[in-house]
Amino acid sequence: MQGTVLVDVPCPDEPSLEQIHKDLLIGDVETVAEKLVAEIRATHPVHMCFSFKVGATPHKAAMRSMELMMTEVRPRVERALGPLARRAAE
Amino acid sequence: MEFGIFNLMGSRSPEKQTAEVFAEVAEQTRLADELGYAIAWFAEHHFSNYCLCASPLMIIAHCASITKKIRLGTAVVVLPLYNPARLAAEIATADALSNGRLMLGVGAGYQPYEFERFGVDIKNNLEMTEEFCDILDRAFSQDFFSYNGKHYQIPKTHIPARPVQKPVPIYVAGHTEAMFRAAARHGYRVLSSGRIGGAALLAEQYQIIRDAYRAEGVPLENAHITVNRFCHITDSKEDGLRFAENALPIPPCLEPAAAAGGHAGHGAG
Repeated sequence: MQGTVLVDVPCPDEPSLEQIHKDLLIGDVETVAEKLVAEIRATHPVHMCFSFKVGATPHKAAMRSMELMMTEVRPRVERALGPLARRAAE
Repeated sequence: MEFGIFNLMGSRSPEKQTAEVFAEVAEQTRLADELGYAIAWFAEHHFSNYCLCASPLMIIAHCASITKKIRLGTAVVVLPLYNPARLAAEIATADALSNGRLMLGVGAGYQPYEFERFGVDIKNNLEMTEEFCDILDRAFSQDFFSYNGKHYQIPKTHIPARPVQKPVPIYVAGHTEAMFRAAARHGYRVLSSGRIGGAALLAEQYQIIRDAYRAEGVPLENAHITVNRFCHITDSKEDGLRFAENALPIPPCLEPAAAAGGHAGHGAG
C-alpha cells in the first residue's frame, strides 16, 4: 500500500507501452484523426465515447483532449468520412 | 454519429481525495455538455482505485442537475450485484431527475473479487442477468408485475416511480456472442470496447455483433453500436506513453488471494 493506493505489480504477458501507444487513440491531432477514421471504418458505430481520463491522467490534460477532439479531430474525421451526423442515419 | 465521454473515475494519486475525484468528473461532464458531446457514460467498479464509483446512478443524479442537454449513461450497472425491485425504482428516479436523459447500460459482471464481497456466486451471473432483464422489462411496461424465476421471485408489485422515457434505452456491455444475442432478443443496444487493442480487434468485435444479431433475426441497426476507446491527444510522446501505462488493463492478474498486494481494477468499463 502507498497511502490509500495499492502498489502496481506487472501482469504476465502485458503488452508493451509502445504497442498500446500505437493501438489506442494516442498522439497529436493528425495521428488521432487517422486512427479514429480507421476505427470508425472497422466498427460502423452509431456512437463513440472516449476515456480521456484514466488512472493518474491529469484533470487538465483530460479537459484539453476533450476540447481538441471536438475542435481539431472531429473536423479532420469529417473531411475523410463526410458529415458524422449523416452517418448516424445510415 | 455522435461522440461521448466515458468516466472511469479512478485515482492513482494517494494525496487525491475522493471529493476531488468526483468534482473533476462533474467538471468534465459539464465541459462535455458545453462542447456538444452527446452522452457522458459513468462506470461502476468496486473495491479498487481503478474506479471509485460504486453507483453510476448516484453520479448521474448529481450530473443531471449541473448539465442541460447531454445524456447520462451507466456503463454499466452490474445487475447481479443489485436487488431488482430497488434498481427498477432507482433507474426511474434517475431518468426523472435528468428529465429523460438516462441511457441505461447493463452488464453481467466478471470480477470474482467483486462478486465474493457482495456474496453473489459468479457462476450464476449470466442466468441472473437474463432474469434481471426480464424483470426490468416487466417493471417498466406493466403497472403491476410479478416474477417467478430460478434466482429471483417477486410477488405482485408496482414500482411507483416511473421513467420519463418510454422506454429508457438499454445497452448491454460485453464482448461475447452470448451477451450480444441476449441484447438482440431484448431489443437492447450494444456497448463494445476494443479495450487496449487496435482497429483489428474492433473489427473482430463488429463481426461478433453482426453474427449475434443475424442469429437472432434482428436487424443490425437495432444494435445502435457504441464503441468505447481510450484517447489522449498530445504532441508529446512521453505524455502519450504515460497515458498508455494508465490505460493498462488489470483483471487477468486480479486473484482474490493476491489482490491485497497487487493492483485491482480493469480496462474499459
